[in-house]
Amino acid sequence: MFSFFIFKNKERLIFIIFFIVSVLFMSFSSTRFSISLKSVFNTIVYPFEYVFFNIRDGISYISLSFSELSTLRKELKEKEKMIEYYREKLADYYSMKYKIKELEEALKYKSESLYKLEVSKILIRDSEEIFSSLIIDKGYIDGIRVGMPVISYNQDEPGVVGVISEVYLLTSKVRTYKDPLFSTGVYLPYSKVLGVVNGISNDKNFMTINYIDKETNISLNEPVLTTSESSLFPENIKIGYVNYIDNTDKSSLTYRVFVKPQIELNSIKNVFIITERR
Amino acid sequence: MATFFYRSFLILFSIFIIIYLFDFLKIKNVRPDIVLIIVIYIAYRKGAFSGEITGFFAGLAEDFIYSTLFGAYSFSKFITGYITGKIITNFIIDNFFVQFFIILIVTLINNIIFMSAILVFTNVSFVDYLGSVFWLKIIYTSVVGVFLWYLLEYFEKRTGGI
Repeated sequence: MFSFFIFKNKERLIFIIFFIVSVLFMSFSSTRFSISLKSVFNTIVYPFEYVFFNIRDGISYISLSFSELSTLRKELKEKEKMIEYYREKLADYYSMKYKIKELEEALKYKSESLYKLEVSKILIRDSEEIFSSLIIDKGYIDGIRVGMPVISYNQDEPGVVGVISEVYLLTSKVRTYKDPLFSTGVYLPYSKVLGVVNGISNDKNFMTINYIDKETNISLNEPVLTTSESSLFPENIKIGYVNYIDNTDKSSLTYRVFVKPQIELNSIKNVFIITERR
Repeated sequence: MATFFYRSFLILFSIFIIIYLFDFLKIKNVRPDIVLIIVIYIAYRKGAFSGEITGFFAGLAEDFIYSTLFGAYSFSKFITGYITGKIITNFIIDNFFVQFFIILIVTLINNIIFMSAILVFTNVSFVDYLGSVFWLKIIYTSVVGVFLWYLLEYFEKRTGGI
């Protein structure tokens, strides 16, 4: 009977109980009892609070780091662009500096030279027989003609490169001293010997002077110069140095002299064509 | 028993969400009373008995966490749950405006009970409270409540009960 009463009026009973409890709570709100209850509850809740705080902070940090990351990416892209820009500028600067140096040298040689020189840039080097011929950027309209001597400079000293073998409208072909068909008259100033030097025909990278009388006393490292007796080159332009004297053939009355070239063709970018002798 | 745990979890979870995660929901330092909306929803669906029990314990949890007058939230919320279960269950909430209006009325009742308790047991001026955040809290809770109502209905359909 009592249980039935409770079940039937459970809503009202609970209402009354809750009402009384709430009023009691409010009445003793600032007392030690409710503060202790709160502190117990807070102690229980603290781990959840801790987790929630960390989740909240974590989420905010993640969102913040994402926004920072995108900003940094943007900045990085801008910096990369700037670096690329400055790299290009630097390359241009070095290229310009190199060109200026080349032109200054060319100008110096041109003004100091005893000959009227035309500065020319090497466009193509012979791909089949290395450096046996060169294509340069001066041609017929620049006053270049077949047979004109071509020289270059090594440590401010002129040296023979070759002769103009073919002339086109805007370009010309140079037959270099490496071509076996190249030959010119030479003079050895110390031993006072005249001879004819031939282009390189072996794999030793040396030009040769044949038929030198064994009576002559040629020393190693003696300079080999062009001579006025040759119509190809003006006199006293260095071809190279005596590097080796071949006198292995005892029966012969002459010997062969090997000449190391003054100009290394693979190290030059410009050549000078002697268009006129002053 | 499972329903009890489910409701407890829902209440506590919403309290934690209100307090710790959704600071950005604040307008002039006022948050919508999401716990009250859950109490109203449970009372409307399950009746006065469930409403008053849910209201009391949800309010008690709030009292433990952030109440200056311990027992005021439990007092106001269990009465609100009881009234909702007794009276509002007679209405059929089938559209947005009715829903908004009912949540508004119930929220108003809850706040009046809460303020009454505050006035009786503390020295806070009712006029000050009425002028500052009273109406803002009621309207804000009603607006958020409409959307939360749909969300709770959706969860109820998905889980098969609340």
